[in-house]
Order: sequence, then C-alpha cells, then structure tokens
Amino acid sequence: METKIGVNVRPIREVEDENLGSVSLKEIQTFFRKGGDKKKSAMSHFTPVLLYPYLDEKKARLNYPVIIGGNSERPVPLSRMIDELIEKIGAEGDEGEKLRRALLRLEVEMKSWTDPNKIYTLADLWQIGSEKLASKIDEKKKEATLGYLKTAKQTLGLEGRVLTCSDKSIGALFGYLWSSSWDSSNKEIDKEVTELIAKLDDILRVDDAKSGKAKRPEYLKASMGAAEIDYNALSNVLSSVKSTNFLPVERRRRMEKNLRTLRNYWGKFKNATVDKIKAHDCVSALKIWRDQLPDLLQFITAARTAYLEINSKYVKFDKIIEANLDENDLALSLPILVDMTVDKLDAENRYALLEIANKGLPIKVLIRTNKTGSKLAQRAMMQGNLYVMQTTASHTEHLISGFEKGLAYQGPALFHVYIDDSPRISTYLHTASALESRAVPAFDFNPTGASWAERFDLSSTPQPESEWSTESVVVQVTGGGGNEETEREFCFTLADFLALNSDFVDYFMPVPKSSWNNAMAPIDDYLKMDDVKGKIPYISLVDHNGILWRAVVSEKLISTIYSSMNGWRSLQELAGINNSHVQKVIHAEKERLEEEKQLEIAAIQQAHQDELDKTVAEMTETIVSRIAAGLLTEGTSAPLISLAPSSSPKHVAPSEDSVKEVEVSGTDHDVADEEDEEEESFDDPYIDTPMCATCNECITRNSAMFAYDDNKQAYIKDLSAGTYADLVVAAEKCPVRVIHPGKPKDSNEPGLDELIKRAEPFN
Amino acid sequence: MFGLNTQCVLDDLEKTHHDLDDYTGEKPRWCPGCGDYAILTAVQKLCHEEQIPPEKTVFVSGVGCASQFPANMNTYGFQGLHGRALPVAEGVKMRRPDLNVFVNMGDGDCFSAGAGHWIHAIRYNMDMVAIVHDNRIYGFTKSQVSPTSPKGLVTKTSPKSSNGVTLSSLNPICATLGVANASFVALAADWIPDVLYQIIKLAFQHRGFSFIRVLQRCPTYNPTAYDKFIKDPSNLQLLTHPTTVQLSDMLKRIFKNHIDHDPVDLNAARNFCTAEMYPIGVLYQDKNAPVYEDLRRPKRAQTPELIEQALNREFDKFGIAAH
Repeated sequence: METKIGVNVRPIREVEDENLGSVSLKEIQTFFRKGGDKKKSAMSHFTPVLLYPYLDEKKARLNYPVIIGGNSERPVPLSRMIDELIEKIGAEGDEGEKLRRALLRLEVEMKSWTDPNKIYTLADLWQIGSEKLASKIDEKKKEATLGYLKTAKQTLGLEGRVLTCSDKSIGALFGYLWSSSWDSSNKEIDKEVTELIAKLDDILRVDDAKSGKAKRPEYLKASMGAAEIDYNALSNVLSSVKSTNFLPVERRRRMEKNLRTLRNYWGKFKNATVDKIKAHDCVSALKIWRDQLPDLLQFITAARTAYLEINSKYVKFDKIIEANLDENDLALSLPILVDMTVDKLDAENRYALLEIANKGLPIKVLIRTNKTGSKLAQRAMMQGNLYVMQTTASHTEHLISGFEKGLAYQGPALFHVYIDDSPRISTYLHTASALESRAVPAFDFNPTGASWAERFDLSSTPQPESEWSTESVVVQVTGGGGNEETEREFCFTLADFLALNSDFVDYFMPVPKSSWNNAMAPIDDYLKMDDVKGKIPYISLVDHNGILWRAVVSEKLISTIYSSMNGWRSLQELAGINNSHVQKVIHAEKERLEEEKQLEIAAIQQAHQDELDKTVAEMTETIVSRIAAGLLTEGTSAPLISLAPSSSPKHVAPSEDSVKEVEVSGTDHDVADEEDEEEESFDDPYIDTPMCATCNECITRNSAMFAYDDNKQAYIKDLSAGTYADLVVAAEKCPVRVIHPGKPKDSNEPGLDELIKRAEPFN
Repeated sequence: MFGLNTQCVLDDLEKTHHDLDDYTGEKPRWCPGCGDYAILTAVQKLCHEEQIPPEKTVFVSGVGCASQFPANMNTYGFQGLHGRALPVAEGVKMRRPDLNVFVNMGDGDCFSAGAGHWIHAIRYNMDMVAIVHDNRIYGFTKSQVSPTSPKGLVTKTSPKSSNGVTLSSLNPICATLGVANASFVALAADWIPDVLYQIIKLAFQHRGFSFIRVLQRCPTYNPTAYDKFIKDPSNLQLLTHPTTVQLSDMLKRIFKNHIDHDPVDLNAARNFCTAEMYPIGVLYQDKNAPVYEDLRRPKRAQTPELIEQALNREFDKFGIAAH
C-alpha cells in the first residue's frame, strides 16, 4: 500500500543483442595492452553499474539539499526533514498515505527546481515546489494535495536556509556551524570574564564612595532616592568625618586601565561574527593573528592583574609574550576561520599552515579541493596537535560532525574537503563516487584521544573494513526464451570512478555481452590474483537503455589502481584494520597456542593410555583368578565372567514421583486451558469481526447498531441503538455465527428469560 | 551507497493512491446473508491493498447472481452471455495483456453452460483470476438444479415427487486438476474471510489461469447446503503451507483440522479433492506452466504504453533533440 521505494527501480538487463555490435578477442587483448583513443571513446554513454540506480537525482533521496537554521538543532537533509515531518503529522491509513505521497512529490519538485549556485530560504523553495507540484496535478486532486501541504507547512514552520552540493555551500555550512557553536561554547568563559570585570568595577566604586564627590548633597540624593532627608545637612555631617583607606593613586590608575582593556577586548570577542573573523588563506590568517596578538596579550595581562587585584595579591609579574600563552589563554583569542581552495595552497601558504600547526594557534582552516590522491590531510595528521578531517562534500553527516569536533577543539584544525564538478554526472554523485571508490577516503584525526586508536577514525569511509565498497543489484538476464532476475554483488573500484572522468576514457573499452569471454575477470578479482597471465580486467557498466556491458580496463591504468589500493591499505592499517603487526602477533600467538594444545593432547592421550593399561591389567588379573576359582569349584552355574556394569543410570525406570510430576503438569495445563476458555466468555456482546463474511444480514436488520469497519467487516457500533432482542435475532440470523449477544443490559426489556435462553448457544 | 541517507529511490509517486471506496461500484442487490458479499469484500480489499489501478482492471461475468459483480466494482466490466464469461475474458487478455482480468461465474454458469470453455480456459492457462461462486443451485432463476447440486436436493426442476436431485454432484476441483496445464487450483469458503482473501491474493499474484471455487451460501434457495461445515468446522480440512495459506492463531483454534500441503504435489492434491472433507486452501500450483498469451503473442498488442512508444518512435524521426 505504501509508495514503492527501492534502490533498483531502474532495471538493469543483461541481454545478448547482435545490434549492440561485437568486439573480437584480439581487439580486446590489443586494447588491454595499448589502450585506446580518447576521441573514439564511447564511454560517455556508460555509467558504472552501482551508480546507475541513482542517476535520477530528483528521485534519489540523497544527503542534499541540507537545511540549516531550521527547526532541527543540527543541519538536516531535506529528505530526512520530510520523513520526520510525515512521522510528526502521524496521519494513518489512506489519508496518511496520500499525505506521504504529496510530501514526497513535493520533495522531488523542490530538488528539481534547486539551482546549485543559489542558497534558498526553505520558505521560498517550499513555495516554488508547491507551485510546480500544483501545476502537475489534475484539478480533482489539487485541493486535497494543497490541503496536505498546508497541514505540513503549519507543522513545520519553514524556518531555515537550503544548501545544495556546491563549493559555496561548504563554506556556508562551515560558517553556520561556527556561529551556532560560538555562543554556546563561550558561555563559561563569558561568565568568568564578566564576573572579573564586575568585581574590578566594584572595588573602584567603593573607592569612589569614599571621595568628597560622593558626599555632595546631589550625589547623596541620587544614591538614596527621594526620601524626605535634608541632604545638605547629611553632606555636612559626612564631610566632617575624614575618610581614610583610599586606593593608592597608582593602583587605582592601573585598575582603571585594566578595566578599560578588559571591556574593550571582551566587547570585540563577544560580538565576533563570521564575516569579521574569516580569512581567505593561511597567510592572511596568520597576519590577522599577529595583528590581534598585542590586544590578546594586553587582555591576558589585564585579566591576570585584575585577578590579583581582586584578591589583593598583586605583585608585578613578567611581561606575557606569545611563547608563554597556554591552551586556556588561546581560548580567549578571537577565532580565525580560513576558507580557501587548494589552488591557493602555494609554498607560502603551506609554510603558514605549518606555522599554525607548530604553534598550535586556534585557526580553523577549510581547504576545498578538486584533486584526488592528495596526501595533505595525512601529512597534517603527523603534526600531532592538529585536528584533521578529510571527507567529501557529499558526506554531509561526516562534514557536519567533523566541523563540529574541529571547531570545538582548542587548537588548530584542518578540514580537507573534496568537491568536483563533472560534465557526466552531478557534482554530488561525482563527489560521492570519489568517496565510495576510495579515491578520497574519509577520516578524522582528533589529537585529544589518549591512544592512536582513539585519535584516528576511518569509520566515515563506507565499508572501511573492505577493500572496496560492495552492493547487490538485481539484474534481469534475458536468454533461453525467458527472463530471470538474479541478485549480483558488484564492487565500486577506483576504475569505476575513473571511468566517469573524461581524462581517462581511453583506458576503457565497452564490450557487449556477445563478445564476453573467459579471459575476462572482474577488476577486484584481477587485482587479487597472483598470476594474471592471460587475464583481462573489466568493470561492469550500464548503457542508456539499462543494458549491462563490460568495459576492459587498460593495463596502463592498473599500476595507478594498485598505488591507490596501497594508500587505502595503509590507512586501514592505521585504523587497525588488517594491521600487519597485529596479524603477525596473532599468527605467532596462534602457533604458540597450537603447540600448547598439541602438548596437552599428547599428555591426555598418555594419561588415557596409562589408565587403559592399568584397567586391562586389573581385568586380566580378575579373569584369571575367576577362571582359577571356577576350575576349583566344579558344578557352579554362576557365570565365570561378568563384564557388564551392575547398573546404569541411563536404564533406570522412571520413578513414581516423576510420573506424578507429569500428571500434575498435565493438570496444570488443563486448568490453564479452562482459564483461557473462561477468559473468552464475556457478558458484553461482541462480534468476531475478522470472521464476518460481510453478508449484510445484521446491517440490514439494524444499521444503527451494527456497522462495517474499514475492511467491510461488522462490529457493534452502538449497543444502545437497539434492543437485546435485536442482538439475539441478529445472532440467530448470522450465517457464520459470529455475533455473540452476551447478557442483556436492560433488565426491564420484555421477554428477557426467553431471549437469554435463545442467546445461550451463541455465547 | 553514494551517501543515500535512507538507501532509497522514490518511484511511482505520480500514481494515484486509491481508497477502498475507489473500487466500490453500484450497491449490490444480493439477498441479505448471501455469500457473494464476502467475495466482493475480499476482492475489493485485494484491489485496495495491492493498489491495482482501476483503469487497468476488468471484471467479466456471465449470467447469474454472481454476474452483477462487474457492476459492483468501479473498474472496467463486461457482463456476457450465460457460460460465455471465459471466452470474453480470454479475448480481452489476448488483446490487452497489460490489464488485470478477473472472471466471476456461478456454478451453473461455469460448470454447465460454460463447461467447454472452462476446460479449455484451464488448458490455455491465460493470466487471469477465475472465481466460481458455487452455491450449488441456480439461484438467479429461483431454484433449479446445477451441476454441483447435492443428490436429493429438492428444487423446482427436481421436485420432491421425484426424490430431488438423482445424480451425484460434479467435483469441479477434481475435474480441474485433471486438465492438462492446470496451474493454480484452490478451494475457498465465503464464511472464512481471512482464508478467502489469502487465496484470492495468491491467485492474483500467480501468473497464469487461477481457478478458485468458492463455497458460497445461498440463504434463499439453498440455505442448508453448507450447514454441516459452518456448524461444525471440523468437517473442513484447511490446507496450509508457508508459500500459500497461513492460519492465524484464532483460525487454528476454530479449524483444528488443518494440514500442511505443498501445492506442487499434484497427486496429494488429487487425493485431497476426492476425500469426503472439503479441502480449503491452495491445492495445486505450477508456476512454470506455459501461458497462452506468451506462446501466441498477438502481432499488435495495443497497450497505451506500446502505442505511446510507437508514436514516439515516429516523432523522433522528425524531432530535434534539445540539449
């Protein structure tokens, strides 16, 4: 009854069709060795088999668009927002399904009309989607559909902005997450600094109160209010008393200066916005840092002095310099965000990045890259004190959690995010393909972890424990006069990703089914083979008509794939997956245990043999002695030898007790049955609705008392709408005997004795 | 894969979701207590649950009480001549294989006037659901003998003076199982709605000719025909199997006489149908039996999709692709 949702709604067919052409084995072998010609390549008509089901992005429920600043605390993909909305409205049955369909259709429309270069408000995109959807629905259903959308809109509230998969969006998401974390993360420090300022201010105010100015009548009136007091007289009295214990002038000046410093800096700190703290590269970020450093040093000096002043412990201390700043001091600095592309990462910027890392400056660097195979993030990880995240723009969940963790980290952070456009498929799918193929693995390095295992996390890469991502796809195989559906597993390898790239099309040659041969091996198997002689690797592709092809991968590309595989294996080892050291230890331990086991077995066998020898010796002795005794006592009928044990617990007959136990439990069962049956008898009338045959008999008799449910089966709708006699007659007339009249409710109804008697067989 | 948050692709959203009322046609005019109501309810429930498009569905009937079925469904319908529902349905299916075809016949309609068509429809094995509403009497014409009328039944054509029906009744299930190429044979009772629904659903899902005989009560002209089975459920034997009918706990309590039967076992099916008890359930199913419309493909099937494809092919010859 629900909307059809599945991953394989675009059928893939394996068919042998002469019209698709043919390729000879010789051509295949030549291509494998030499590669092909870019200009003649037909690869643009093909898609890797695992990507094929998702090509229609409007219908695929992807991680984008993402809603930020909406009802959810964290950014949420549109499709999840729609799912949550449907659940929140909670409509059920046919109405629920219609609402669900309306909202899912709206989701499709909203995705269809999203311009990747724009950032929409949710309200605007909802409006666009609703209008487009309304224009596609026929008039009869329009009103109902718009009604569903109205209900949904009221439930949702339509707050927030919509981000698509684009360069612009990554920056916007980065900024949004910084803003939302900024206020909450600094509440503690804000409270502390505000308190410090207030206490310092209080000391100065108390000092002010002792001054002559504070004893003037107008000052006294202002501080005491409009009470009927002679302020002139009061002023005279107070002035006659000489005040003592004034703050020393030098201290007072120092405190006033510190207060000003604290107030100025803290005002800037609290009002920081993304625009004010954003730098366009690492060099300018460092410059901003250096520019703001004197202010920070002044602030920290002022704060320390103030702390000592408040506690009356002030002593002159050494000048604070950058090198003395610790983690807590750096937390008081204004944050700096860098949002740059990898093109800008020249030597100067690399040096600046290194300096940021070395000094542990609280600068968060986002580098957007369109290059696969970069080792920047891996190298940065080796710095040790830098939070590092590498991911792709498609992986929103990782992107969001990585940004959040990196921003919360006290020190520097590097976010290395891959995003690239593709002429063949959308930016999202291209970027997601890079992740799936291990071209860009996703990982985090968090320096706060106590051990390497806690610091390095590869779990954001799909199927991290495997060589490649794998998924099953249903393929319709046509041949032999019929169709057969088979579920097959395919890997998404680096070759599949490169097949989408126009720079690599000459490394692939599509081959139709009619030309497939036994020398061909799936590339994932090929890469694992020790001896590849005579084998030709291929990847599986699908053409525009959904027909499955194989594409031979040129030998020239194999070394690139091996190299990428090795890079991936190194990361797996770092994450503790198939770690060679661990495997070596396991192997050694296994051998040791095996050896121990063998020794143990040998010892048991020896002990057993000894026991056996001993028993045989004893038995022999017994037999010999009995034979001897038998020979000595002739005429005895007793057996000479008895090897059978005298009694065996296995053959003991069941005791009376155990029989009784069985009987008792049998009785219990009967009692339970009786109880069940007792539970089934009611005084209230009822109908076995699931057994109703919808014969209209009872409904015709009293349509107010009996009614049909959604399944068109009868139930008692309103007992008061008829008499007990109605119930009894309905039960008698019911051809399937599912009406049970129970006991009468109205004891004054005439002829009850007879009716109760008639009702008995039906209760 | 590829970052799909719920691993799914939306499809079929444009299709209208149908309420139960969308399948409801004219109000039935059967007598109160008639078993036809149960069959109608089960079929409408099937259409709703499976969301069968009404515009892709045809109900065909002959003459008799059951023949008003197409009028009670809000789909396409065709009421033919007595005994001729099956050839009409076969014609529809041959020309429009994309349609879901249901045939509703009475016992007289199918086993008497339409006996020849019935036997050959089983052999053709065209993809449709044939439901026989078997009340063991001609009720529509007010009580005449039908091929399944029990021996001794007094009707207007077998009066008391001649000791009622003198011949033994036909065993339609046994006869169906004897025909070559039978692919789905089931027996249902209108007073066990859950099992009736399950059988009709299985029949709809089966590709081929699904024959269902429904034991149907006629409260007016043959009210006691199935009394023995209604009053004492142990007189019925329910056939269950993981691939066919499964009983709820409640039904297991009521129908204690149930047995596991693998529907691929034709011999066992024949033994069941010759036993004294009615075997309720799917007796036989052969998913690989050849389907006539596959063997005799019409030269020009006229489904709307095929017509659209043909038109597009023609237009493409003159069109310029927009990129």
